[in-house]
Amino acid sequence: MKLTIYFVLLTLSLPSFANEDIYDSRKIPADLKKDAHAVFRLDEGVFEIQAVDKATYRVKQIITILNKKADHFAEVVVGYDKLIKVKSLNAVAFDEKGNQINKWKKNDFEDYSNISGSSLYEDNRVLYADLKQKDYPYTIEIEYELQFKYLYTIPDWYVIPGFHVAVEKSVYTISYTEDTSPRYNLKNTTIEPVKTVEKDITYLHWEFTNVNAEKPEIFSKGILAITPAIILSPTKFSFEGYAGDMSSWDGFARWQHSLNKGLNDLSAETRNEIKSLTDGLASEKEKVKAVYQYVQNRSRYVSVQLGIGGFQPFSASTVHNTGYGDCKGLTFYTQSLLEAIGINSYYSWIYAGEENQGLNPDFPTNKFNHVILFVPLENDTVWLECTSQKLPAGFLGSFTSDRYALVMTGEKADLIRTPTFRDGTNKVELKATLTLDMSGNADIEVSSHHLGLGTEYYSIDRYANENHNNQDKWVRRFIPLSDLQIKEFEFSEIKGDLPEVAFNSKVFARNVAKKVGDKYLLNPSLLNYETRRFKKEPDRKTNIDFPYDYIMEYELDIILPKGYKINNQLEDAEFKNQFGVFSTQYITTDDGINCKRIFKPNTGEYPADQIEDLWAFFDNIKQMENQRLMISKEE
Amino acid sequence: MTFKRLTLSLIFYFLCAPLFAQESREYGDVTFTDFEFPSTIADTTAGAVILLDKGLTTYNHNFSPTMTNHLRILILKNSELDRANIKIPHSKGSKSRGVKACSYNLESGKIIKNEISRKDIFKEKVSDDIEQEIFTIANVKPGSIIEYTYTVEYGTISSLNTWYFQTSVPVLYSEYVVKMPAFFNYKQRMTGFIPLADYSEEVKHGYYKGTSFNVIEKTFISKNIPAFESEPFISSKENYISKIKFDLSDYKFPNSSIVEIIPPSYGRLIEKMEKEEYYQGIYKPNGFLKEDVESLISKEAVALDNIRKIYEFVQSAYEVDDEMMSTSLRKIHKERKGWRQDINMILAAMYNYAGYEAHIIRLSTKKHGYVNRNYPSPRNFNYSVCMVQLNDQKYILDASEKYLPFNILRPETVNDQGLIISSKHSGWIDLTYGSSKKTNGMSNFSINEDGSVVGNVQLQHLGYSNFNFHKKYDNVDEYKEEFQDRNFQLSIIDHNVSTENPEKLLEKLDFEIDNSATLMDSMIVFNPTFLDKIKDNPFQKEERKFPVTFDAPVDNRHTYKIALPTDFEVTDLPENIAIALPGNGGRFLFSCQQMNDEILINSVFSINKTHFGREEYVYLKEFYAQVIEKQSEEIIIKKKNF
Repeated sequence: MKLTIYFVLLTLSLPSFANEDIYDSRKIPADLKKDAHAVFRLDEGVFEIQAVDKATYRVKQIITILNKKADHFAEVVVGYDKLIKVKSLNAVAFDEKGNQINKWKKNDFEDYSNISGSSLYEDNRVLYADLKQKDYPYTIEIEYELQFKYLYTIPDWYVIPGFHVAVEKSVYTISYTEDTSPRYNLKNTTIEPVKTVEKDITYLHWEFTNVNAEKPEIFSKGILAITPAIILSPTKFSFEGYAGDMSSWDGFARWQHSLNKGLNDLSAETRNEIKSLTDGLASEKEKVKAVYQYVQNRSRYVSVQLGIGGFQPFSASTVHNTGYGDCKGLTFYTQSLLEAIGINSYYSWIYAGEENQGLNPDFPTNKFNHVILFVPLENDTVWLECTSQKLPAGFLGSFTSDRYALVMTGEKADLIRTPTFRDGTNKVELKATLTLDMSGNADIEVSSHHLGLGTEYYSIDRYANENHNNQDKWVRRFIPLSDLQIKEFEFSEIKGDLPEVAFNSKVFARNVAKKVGDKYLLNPSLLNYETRRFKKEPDRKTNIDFPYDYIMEYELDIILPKGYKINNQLEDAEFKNQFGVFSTQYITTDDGINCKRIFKPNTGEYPADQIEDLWAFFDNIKQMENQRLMISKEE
Repeated sequence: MTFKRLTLSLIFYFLCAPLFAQESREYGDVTFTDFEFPSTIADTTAGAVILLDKGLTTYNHNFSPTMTNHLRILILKNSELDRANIKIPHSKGSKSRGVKACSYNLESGKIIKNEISRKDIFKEKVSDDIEQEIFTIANVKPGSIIEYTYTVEYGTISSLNTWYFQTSVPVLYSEYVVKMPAFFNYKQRMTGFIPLADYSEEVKHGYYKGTSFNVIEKTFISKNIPAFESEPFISSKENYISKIKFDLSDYKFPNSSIVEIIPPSYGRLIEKMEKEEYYQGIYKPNGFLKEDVESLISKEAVALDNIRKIYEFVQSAYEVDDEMMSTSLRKIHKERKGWRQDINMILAAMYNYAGYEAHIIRLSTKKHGYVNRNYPSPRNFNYSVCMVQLNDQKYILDASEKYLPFNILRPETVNDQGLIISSKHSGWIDLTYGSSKKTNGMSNFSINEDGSVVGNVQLQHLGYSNFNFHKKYDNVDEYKEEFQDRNFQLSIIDHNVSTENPEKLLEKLDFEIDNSATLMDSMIVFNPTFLDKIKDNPFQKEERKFPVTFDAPVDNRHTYKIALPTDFEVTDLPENIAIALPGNGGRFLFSCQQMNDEILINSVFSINKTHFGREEYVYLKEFYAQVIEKQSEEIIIKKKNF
């Protein structure tokens, strides 16, 4: 029996020295090198579940780095914290032929804290070493073992680590006993695992071989959208003494509920304060807005994550008394305040950020990194982003909109989609009056109005409330002219149901009309280009991710100098396809010309074979935007 | 209370009364007026104003320095809320103590104070050498004032922490007090353009093991300091930001002899440095260099040729390795690698071995700031180059870069003057560029009837242009890929880049461009400088605070030949222009003429010096504006008989 187990374990772990070809970069199959900056000769992971709160993770990687673009793989970063310990860590570097150049032990790694920018204190740390070599190609081998003191998350296995990386062999094994059996979900592959059982331990084993390198494609969700992946999740687990079952979304909710229990400890004084603040208000929605504003005015975002603190919020009274908290604390605090005035709201997990790969509703797992609040009212639902001091109640920025949130209603959970804001309310209106002088320079009044997600355009939502110097730099980015004298500018933030910012400015720009002899050429698109420039790569693989979330309306009034006229007639035009509409309109005026442009993109995901339609969309925009007016003296 | 006492107490009260009108500068003394935006601060859009920035450097019983900081900050915008998250880093082994922090908020006419407690302070190991205390303050929002103070002991007496009067936000009141036992003689150095509001010096007394000694207390006060705002093209922020630094010159304890930390003059510094083993190494009979030297030089050859050969040899044979642990010339020679400046040590050693007089020049690179002429410390310098003298000619050489031509210095090192570490010479020596970013170009364009253009461009990159190319790109393919991405509108037929000549990069480009900028049917518009013109004026603001410093001189010359399609004639051509910067700072010549069916354009753009004073800014701004204007002008041609 013992021999058999030993044999099984032996075949699962590739012996280092039985096959030295693996360190020899000359032995890489030629076609694997195509478009590759690095080749993973071996990528091996073994995850051993030992109990509901104990697991070991062994990783071994042998990577041949072909050129300096893949040098980042030689920077080894192994993260750990209070509940993940690094039991062993070794690395070796080999030259082109596979001869050993250098060795590193765990002690040779540097130990740094790994606190993210807006965090105050987390117990996250990393062990770091730079194994880069000067001559290419070279090979590095990294081996480490981590001890998990919890089973809450199981690291997913991604076969392709990045673009321009080929994989010779990727091997993953997970082992468990019946009462700790995990669940898995496959993405971009149909390779099912080989299952073996020894005594009461079950092994699931996957192998992927000879996976070619992929190249990045424009308008794409990235490597995570194409790489074969094994998404893993526990069923029964325990975290710092809090037990749970993740095989259902409801189980997830129950676990979170057990963490949050008893933390709503607002004092009677606080409850009375919030009651008297909202008593006189007409509707429930008004009350929610008032509570939200109350939280925004007195709190700021600070993250303090230690162990269970990564999942358990600060108590409501703590957030109330200190005036700070992270997304969990601030959300829970807001929830507690609403409860004090009899309004039910629900703590909701969500994945925030651009890298949203989309949640699989049939596979409960923790892929969340943020918490927001869901407030269902009789005739309305209001989502609250409790870490923001500025957003109006109910508005979620692009980093949490249009995706599933796991709304936890006590001991149950529901997947509910956050608003998409694609109804045309997200807009940027750019208006300018350009008074041309006889030297081709111009006084220009530029103003813009941003609504909803249009306030994320050029990050104006951030700069509207910055100091003058930073705002000046912003104006020079926003107005893309080569020589700008800024005379005055003003930002105003307008309060309402949607974020709204207005910008006004007066500038003097040199050389806006290009001189040709005694004539001038002026491109009406000089203040706003929607043309996107990219190489047209055939044989597209990934779906087209068209992420625009605002409409651009641009209007330019050109006032000619006295005695000058426009020589050519620019045609009104419109191009429309599934990706959206782009239209231009020209109206002659008494003193010049009025140019209008409307850009209405259709946000969404499109199949890869529609790429030629995307090229056509931008080709037509380019043609329309490159037209110029010819201005000359009247005879 | 007797009448006498009452009078006394009244007198005492009136004597003290003015104190209440003074500004509150002790920890905890926040008053209502502190919440108002200070009227003496010009930038009313600031996200925060530092109301008080106090520093005190004093000594403990071991005469090692301690620094006490006290800050009081008025927070006005959300963007500055993170100032309430405080970190106190210090080297492992030293400690921080006396940490106090609180926030103040004005609520219903009262000042509400929130103090942190001990349990709010976390200790964190940042890396192997650095630890820090971190904490955040409760109840901070726009309109709040935060205040904190702490004391850190730090190890070395030879150089005190720099005190910055100017920071990234306006400062209302900055006070730096240094209490120095008279044993220590410090040289102080201030930079920046903001004058002190007040300065005072007092002599006090301290006691050590029963004996008293003098303590010199210096107080520096600066007020209403605007935030430091950088500008494009400045030499180094450190040259202009308002700060003060103390460096120890020497010290003398009673009944002990004087210990010199830095010599009293640069002349003495040179004498001291050249005696050090490290610098002496280049004059020794380094036998291990024999083989290399003898393989390179010959007695019959011209001395300059030998010198060049040795330079080129060191350039190619040695690699820069910043991780190298040893500065021993023998080891460096054996490994064929070393620190960047040590490669220049080897160079000097080889020259001396070969019988040519060579010394080391110490200098400060641009980012490191200007050399402090009042403080002869070796710490002023951060780099070495080699000087070799032949008859009366001095050659200054840097062999650490493969593509740096002989007798040309890296632009980063051309900063003010360098110091020759040899008493045989007069100390300071000018550092000059010797080269420029030089490009020569020849473009041949052929316009077709449909507006498309076929082009052939040949470029030579010389001097620093060539040098910068090799620094930036590991290989030609990297450059070509980047070029293609940037110029995606070109259909590139062939792009050949040759690095065969190490001093001259040759580039040949053949392309087609679909120039769909046809106007009014029969007219074709073309901008011949589209590939190499300057895009944005680097000087757009009306005012300039600091002098302008470019990294290197520029010399670009380009001729363009444009062949017209048959049956087309020229409607409009750019006019000639010749402009120059005063004091031979630079010039721009542009001529355009038609010769039969061809248009010939000649363009010369040069910037001859790298340092321009503030008063020259207005000329630079206008110069660039006119260059950009001319370079963006178009040629219009139209079909004949239309």
